[in-house]
Amino acid sequence: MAAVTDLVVERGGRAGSAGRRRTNFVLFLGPAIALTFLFFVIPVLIDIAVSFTDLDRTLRITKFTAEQYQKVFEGDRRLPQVVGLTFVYAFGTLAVFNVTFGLVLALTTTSLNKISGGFFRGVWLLPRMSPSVLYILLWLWVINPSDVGLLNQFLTQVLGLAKPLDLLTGAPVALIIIANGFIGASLGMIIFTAAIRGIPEHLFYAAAVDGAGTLAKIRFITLPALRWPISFVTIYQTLSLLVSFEYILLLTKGGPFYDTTVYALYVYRRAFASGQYGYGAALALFLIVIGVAVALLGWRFFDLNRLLQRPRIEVH
Amino acid sequence: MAARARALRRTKAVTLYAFLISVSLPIILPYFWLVTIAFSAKTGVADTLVLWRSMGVFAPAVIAFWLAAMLAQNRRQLWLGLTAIALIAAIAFALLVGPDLHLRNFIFLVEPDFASVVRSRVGEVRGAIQFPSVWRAFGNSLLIAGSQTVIVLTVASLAAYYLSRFQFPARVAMLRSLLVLHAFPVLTLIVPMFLMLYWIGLLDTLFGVILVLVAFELPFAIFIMKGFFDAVPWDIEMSALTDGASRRQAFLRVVLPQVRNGLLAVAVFTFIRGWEEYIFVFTFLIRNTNWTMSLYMYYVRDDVMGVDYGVVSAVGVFYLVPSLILYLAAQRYLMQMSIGGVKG
Amino acid sequence: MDGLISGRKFNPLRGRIRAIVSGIDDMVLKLSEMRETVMGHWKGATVTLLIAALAGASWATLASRPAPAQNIVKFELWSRQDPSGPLRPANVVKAADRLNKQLEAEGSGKRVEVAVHESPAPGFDDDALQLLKVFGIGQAPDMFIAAHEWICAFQQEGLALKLDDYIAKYPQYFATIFPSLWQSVKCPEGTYGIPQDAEARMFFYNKKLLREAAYDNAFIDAMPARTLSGELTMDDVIDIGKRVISKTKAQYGILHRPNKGPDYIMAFQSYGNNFVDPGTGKLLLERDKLTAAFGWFERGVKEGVIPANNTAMEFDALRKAFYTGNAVFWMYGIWDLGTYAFPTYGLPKDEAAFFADWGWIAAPPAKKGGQAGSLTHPITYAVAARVSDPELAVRLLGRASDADLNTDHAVMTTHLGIKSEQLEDPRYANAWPLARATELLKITKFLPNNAQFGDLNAIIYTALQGVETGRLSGQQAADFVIDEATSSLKDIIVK
Repeated sequence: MAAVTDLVVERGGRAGSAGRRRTNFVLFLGPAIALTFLFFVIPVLIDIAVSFTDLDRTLRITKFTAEQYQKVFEGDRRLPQVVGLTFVYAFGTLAVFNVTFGLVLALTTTSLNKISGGFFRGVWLLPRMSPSVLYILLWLWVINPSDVGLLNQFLTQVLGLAKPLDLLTGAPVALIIIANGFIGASLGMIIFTAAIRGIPEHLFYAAAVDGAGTLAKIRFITLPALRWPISFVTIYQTLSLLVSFEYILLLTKGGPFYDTTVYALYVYRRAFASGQYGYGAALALFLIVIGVAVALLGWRFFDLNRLLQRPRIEVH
Repeated sequence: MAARARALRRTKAVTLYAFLISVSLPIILPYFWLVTIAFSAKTGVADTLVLWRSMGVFAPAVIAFWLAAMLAQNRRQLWLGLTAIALIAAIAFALLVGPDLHLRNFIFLVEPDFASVVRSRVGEVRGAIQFPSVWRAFGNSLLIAGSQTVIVLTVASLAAYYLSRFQFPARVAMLRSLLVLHAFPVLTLIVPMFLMLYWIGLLDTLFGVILVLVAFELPFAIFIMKGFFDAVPWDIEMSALTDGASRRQAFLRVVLPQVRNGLLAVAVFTFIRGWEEYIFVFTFLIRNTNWTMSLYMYYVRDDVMGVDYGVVSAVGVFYLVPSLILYLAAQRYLMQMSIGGVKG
Repeated sequence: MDGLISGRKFNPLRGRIRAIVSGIDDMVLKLSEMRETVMGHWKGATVTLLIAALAGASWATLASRPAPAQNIVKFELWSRQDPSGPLRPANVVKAADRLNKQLEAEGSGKRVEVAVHESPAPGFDDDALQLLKVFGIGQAPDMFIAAHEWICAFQQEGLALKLDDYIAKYPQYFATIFPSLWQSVKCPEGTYGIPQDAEARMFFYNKKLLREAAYDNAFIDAMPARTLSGELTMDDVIDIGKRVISKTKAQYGILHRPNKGPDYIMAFQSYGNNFVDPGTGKLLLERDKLTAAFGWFERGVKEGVIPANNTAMEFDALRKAFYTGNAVFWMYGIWDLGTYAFPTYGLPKDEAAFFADWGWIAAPPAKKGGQAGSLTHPITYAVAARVSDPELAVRLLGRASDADLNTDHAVMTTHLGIKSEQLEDPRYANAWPLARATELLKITKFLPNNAQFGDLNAIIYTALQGVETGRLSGQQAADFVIDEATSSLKDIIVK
């Protein structure tokens, strides 16, 4: 490719270059900035403000108080359990499904021929692509505690189990980890597959000539190439798991009791089920801070140079 | 030596297939059950016999397909084998499963008060929930997902182009904050969002939901589009500009067509996201005058499931099909999206 | 590349505008030409039309009588979609017709129109919470149907209309309503609701299963009387359930509702929890009594009598379990007979045939010699405080409470009526479940009419779920309720 020189043109005309520059700025970036400001910055400010009030179901603020934070640190007996559960859930899903199983799926599907690999990848993308209400509906049918549930049918008729299982009551945390894991594994699978495809073929041939078996190939060629994607998926998905509760809400509603109420769902229950909006805002603030912190942490993993590539045309 | 290598390769392939099939089965079966029940269940019965019977037809058919693909020595044999298997499978299906198939579960498409009809079949007084017409919910979902997609595409491509091509003082800061926003946990903002919409007066309106969804999809969309814009070579634009085009014209006429793939990818994902949206709709739409497909599906399950699995699965199939179609159409673009510095 | 992009293409803006302008010019020219031709032909036609219109208008005004100025008052009624009460909103719609006829007879120009908004909430508690939110966002209905214990929650936030004056003004609608029912709609400041129905809640039981478990007929038939006299206790019910499960194929002993509601509060009341301090009207929580009540549920689950996942089961599954003979006791209410038992599950409608295989007992006392109880959960009509025409609204609801309309509702879904004259209606007399259930009214209690009771009930239900699924012991559940109540509600007295 021929070297491209920077193009700087001063154009005359009615508005002049500076004017056009400003119009362009407003035209191109204006809507995005406005929406982002309105829906990201302002809610955070509102959240901080509301967390210092006693806003409740009546949606009227009567006083400013720090009692919500007092409740968070002293009065709430559910909170430690909720926080603990959130970590168990987030790292459990991440470790077992999103990263590990995603990796396994990527490795196995890329070892097959293109069509079969594509077919299995397609199957594993199905949960992510289905509407959440539908996906959970299917899960509820599978784990139905009576004999109608698919899982119980399989267990009682094929494996010969005596009594049907009730996973919702017996193993709710495992249930939410698996249900979310199916969805999470697909993202890892896509990213790892893309990365594996990007590994030059000749490396594998060279390794084969040198006598490397499959496992050795994976260990010395594939995995090092996936180091960046693995860390990306880990950081990105940690954040998303810490914060998402849609599937959990639909599947278990946070129950039984508070067993599957992760932190984000706890905020939702407090705010919208019990009507304690002020308390919910205080709890949410911690989550926002953690979210921003992890997002900032994620910076270091991005190829900032490519992202900040200097534009080479100064024309307006 | 060569035979042993071949046998080894074959065992490897078989183990891989066995593993993949066994882990994929928990996903394939429920969806298969959904479709089967939608077309065969009767009121009050959650019938899985039909499921097993159709599995009994499909599973051998698929295995036979694979065997044919592996054993066929030339193209003609392959096609002959595939056609034969397909014919046998079709006949078996028609004989075993055919008589059970019917479209009665799709009653909700024509009869809004299907819940009462269904419950009256088991002798109950009337349905608990009076559903609106499913087409209204469908239309609302289409409206939400569609408007969200259009707005996101417009705003994101404009912003991404500017960030990709222009130099201005706050550029680096904006890109950095974009990274933070891209990874921002949006669901945490649901409580202040609720209050903000209430104070603006957009609570309980579709427009409020659309705006919230647009804003939350925006960082991701800008990110992806910027990746696509970055990949468009400078030359094209340079030529256009040296020919006297303004920046905006260059954008519209020359650069935008180049990122068509990106636009399609973002459009599809945004639409699917809006189609499945449940939490915001559930929280922000309070009077239930505006139903969306997600709410419809939720309440159908809540109300009718104990009585009629068939109708619930029929609604499920109806809800799933648009997502599936879009997903199949967009599959190609999935692998082309660049994420950060990793290009697929 | 250069050749593809010619210079002309990129100066189109001015040219384009010019083209558009000339296009518009052409259009205007053509339109004016058309106008000329059209005008020629149609001038005569226009004049004829005008004359015809004038003639028609004058004929219409001369021919018709002067009608009184009709003032249509539109009311929106918020109702919950409830298969056990479809006539609650329907009666109001019928009442609108009757009221309109009455208004016409009075010579008033007002007419009433009712639009029913139905909410899909799964229970009255969820519906009340939803409605409070709707009020909060300023989209309130004009009148609403709510469970009685939530009326004071609406009143406290100034959302409900005070009805005392209107009730006194229209004795023809309200004077014959049972006095005890008015207790359920009174808040400290006055009356804020009109009772719409009453019912009785009890423990249904399956006599067939008891016979299969080798209980003799004398024992089975004496159960209701023994409960009322205080001989049969809550623990006895657990024991009976346990014996039936071990001796028959029945899977469950005692089933209760799987969402928030009034029924399980019966058990709490048996253990002495009334939840209200009689002197101050504030919510009262007594730790030892709560522990005892939760302990009963804990024991029930431990003995395998109450299923651990009762709170996660579906209503349909629970009803099916009981009415098909898979459970012994069903802690629910009389209206289930008319809504589900008779039509869907084919239980015998004839009184003798029904009581041969089925029956019910009041909520047993906690200890021998104690007082048996029952729970009545009236649903009420209420009016929003900011309604445009309060008197008309109250009159409408008054007509909706007409004895015959109320009897329709009572007979169709087996609820108890609100007025004494309904007892003389032959349909009511023929509905033997109503008569038999009325006996329970002597010992029945209401839920407290405290504005915060609904929220307290939600906390109790969560704790109940915790106890049944084994996450909480009885003592821990009582502590949980007290902790949550004191931290999220106001003015709780704890003993």
